[in-house]
Amino acid sequence: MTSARGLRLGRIEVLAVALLAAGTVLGGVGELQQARYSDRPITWVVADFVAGWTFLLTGALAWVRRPDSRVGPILLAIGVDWFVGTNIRSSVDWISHVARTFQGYYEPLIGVLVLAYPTGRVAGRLERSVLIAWFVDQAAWSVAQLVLLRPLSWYGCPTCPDTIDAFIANRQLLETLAPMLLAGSILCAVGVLLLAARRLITAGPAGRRRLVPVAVAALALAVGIVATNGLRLTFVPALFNDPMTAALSYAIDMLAAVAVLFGLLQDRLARTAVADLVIDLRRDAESVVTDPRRLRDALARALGDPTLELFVADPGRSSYRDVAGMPVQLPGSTPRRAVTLIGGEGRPAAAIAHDPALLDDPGLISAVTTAVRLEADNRQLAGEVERQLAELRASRARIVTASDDERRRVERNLHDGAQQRLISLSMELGRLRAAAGRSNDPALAHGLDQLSAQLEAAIEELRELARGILPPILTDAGLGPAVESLALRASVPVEAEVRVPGRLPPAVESTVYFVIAEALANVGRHAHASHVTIRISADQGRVSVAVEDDGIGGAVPARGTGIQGLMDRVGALGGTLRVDSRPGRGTAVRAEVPIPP
Amino acid sequence: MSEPAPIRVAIAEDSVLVREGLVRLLAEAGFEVTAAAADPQGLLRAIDADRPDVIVLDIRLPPTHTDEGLRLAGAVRGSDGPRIGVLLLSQYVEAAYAYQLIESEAAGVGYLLKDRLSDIGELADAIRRVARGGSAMDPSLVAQLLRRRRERNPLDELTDREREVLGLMAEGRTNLAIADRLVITLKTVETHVASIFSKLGLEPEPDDHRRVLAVLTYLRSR
Repeated sequence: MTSARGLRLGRIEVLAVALLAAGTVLGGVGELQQARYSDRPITWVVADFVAGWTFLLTGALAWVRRPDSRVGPILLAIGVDWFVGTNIRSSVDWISHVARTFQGYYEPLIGVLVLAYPTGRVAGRLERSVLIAWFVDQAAWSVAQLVLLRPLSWYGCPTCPDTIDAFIANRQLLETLAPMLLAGSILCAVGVLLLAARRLITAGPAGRRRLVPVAVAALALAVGIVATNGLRLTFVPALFNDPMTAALSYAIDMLAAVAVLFGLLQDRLARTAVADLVIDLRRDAESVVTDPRRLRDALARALGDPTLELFVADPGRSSYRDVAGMPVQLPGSTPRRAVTLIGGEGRPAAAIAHDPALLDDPGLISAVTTAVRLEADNRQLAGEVERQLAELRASRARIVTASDDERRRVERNLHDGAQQRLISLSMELGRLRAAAGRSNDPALAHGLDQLSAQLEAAIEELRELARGILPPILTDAGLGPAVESLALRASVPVEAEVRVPGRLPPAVESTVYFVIAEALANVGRHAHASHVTIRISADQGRVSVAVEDDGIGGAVPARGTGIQGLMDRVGALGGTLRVDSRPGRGTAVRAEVPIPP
Repeated sequence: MSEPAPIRVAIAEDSVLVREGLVRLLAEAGFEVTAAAADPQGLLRAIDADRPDVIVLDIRLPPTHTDEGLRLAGAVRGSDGPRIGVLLLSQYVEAAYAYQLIESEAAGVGYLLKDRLSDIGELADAIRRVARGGSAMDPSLVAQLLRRRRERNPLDELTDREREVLGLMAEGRTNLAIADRLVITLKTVETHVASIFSKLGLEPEPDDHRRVLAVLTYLRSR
């Protein structure tokens, strides 16, 4: 128990301790009576007390540690009934009567323990029938004793005072019934033993592993009960009262109780396997969750069921595949094979087929499946984020491409429309000027010359505008000629080294071009440089571009929206852009752009 | 003194406005326009049918509207038969295209901005030069090459007049045309040319078109 829970005892703890205390008092008083009135040696009495108390103690412990299982209360009931039976020699009549009425039920209760372990619930019609038969036999036995009287010598105390003389004695009938009832209880005990053996045989490996302690207990108890009742039946009091037989019987009882407790706690230990599983999933999340074989192994380890099968739901979630990836029909649950779905909100992500015994401890399997589901959800979320990120990247790249397409379209429209129209206009104007020159009208000629100059300026401006949108030389001839064109127009000497084999994807070419154009424009505006070097190289799926000047440096990229826009553009293609500009050390604009395959 | 036969010109230009303007302009300027096509195939058919002296074509032509004109120029110049002069027109003048055009042979090629269409005198001059086997490079391109900033610039050693003469040489003009343009004597032009070649460390070139190639190559290399 953790200290936090230890400070405030729960209902179960209080009840368990109360029953333990009550049973102890009951047993103490009863055994004292035994010690006083029976001719049994004191060691025997002490052994009887220790055996009964073992049931009480293990029951209390089991209940507190495993409140989900009814095994604890059953053990406590066995212990209490054990000690009820010790009080049949009470000097107080009613206590003696009560004790006679309720004593002996611990034997069928042990049968319940054996068949109900580890949940404390008896499954199976045959199992329930056998146990009910045993209880009925025991009840008949108690009633017969009460009604027909039984000499105390039956309990190995020939000198005890017979306290129920008042009852009508019918030894004849009792002696007729007794063997039948004893034989009934022996039959029931053997039945329980056989049913326990069947459980053991039909159980899967996980269930078998968990049933081992109770199998030991069942065998021991059945042998003990058959032996003691058989001895009573055969009326061999000498052997029945033999200290060795008794010692053996008590030892068997204690062994059974301790084995059951041990088994239950062992089960609890199995839950720590869940922690191991979580660590497994965490440490090796990538391969364990993505590789169904490794996940299956991890689950089999955690649940202690080597036969565990894992089925992974298809993304469509209506069909399943086995760990080898082959489509399979999800098996239904059978008494010999349980199928548990993993995944929340009615949308299983996987299913496991396993030993149904694992269901005896619902906490264990739900802890394991929850661990797997959490990990799967985590991965699904991570995958979702990854997918959205990839979508975002693709979408940004598409925006760049779309914007380039749009630029190309606008430039083409300008070229085919306005520019041609202005050119044709200038040709007409040229004819008019020629005519005016012949017409000897200097004013007209002068006016037309001015008009022509303005038109030329308009054409020039439109050309520069169109070139700024997207230079046709880049689209038509690629980076080399386009960069040469930029270099020719630059305001400072430019040395360009373009090492690009063939053509690159349009979005990459335009991005590199705009990086250089912007860098050169900034050199012209701010750098006071006397020389610029441009280097472009393409290798290993990337284009690297560097524009370095020998100017004053100290450029702040964030200030220029041009550079910010370029960073966005380069970033959209998954590339990087850096501006190194220490005062006095010149400015270097470097970009790397991946070339999509 | 009989009139010389008019220079025969075929046109390829996809813009109807510009094409028709050109036809009218060239006819008025005394050229014989043998064909006016809208695409490369049309021009090639026209050349086959009636071989012109010069073709005037836009660099951007169908179907892709990129550099069809340039490729067409290469094909026509590479073909057998009497040489056909090529005058390439463009909305933009790009050094890379100019060098591609004169790569092997600057004789009989011209590369002009469409802006020049406004000055029929200049256009006619360019066509005549190309027809003669000379060259016609757009002044704006030459200016760009001359203006280009260089680390160690031998052009700085030229006088202003020499730079002017160098530019006109690069445009493909003859010494006579240069003398005419600058209103100086032919003798003076020849002196300038010799001085320029000496200062730039170039071998003197007797042919005009070879001179263009040498000068343009020089301008590009630095």
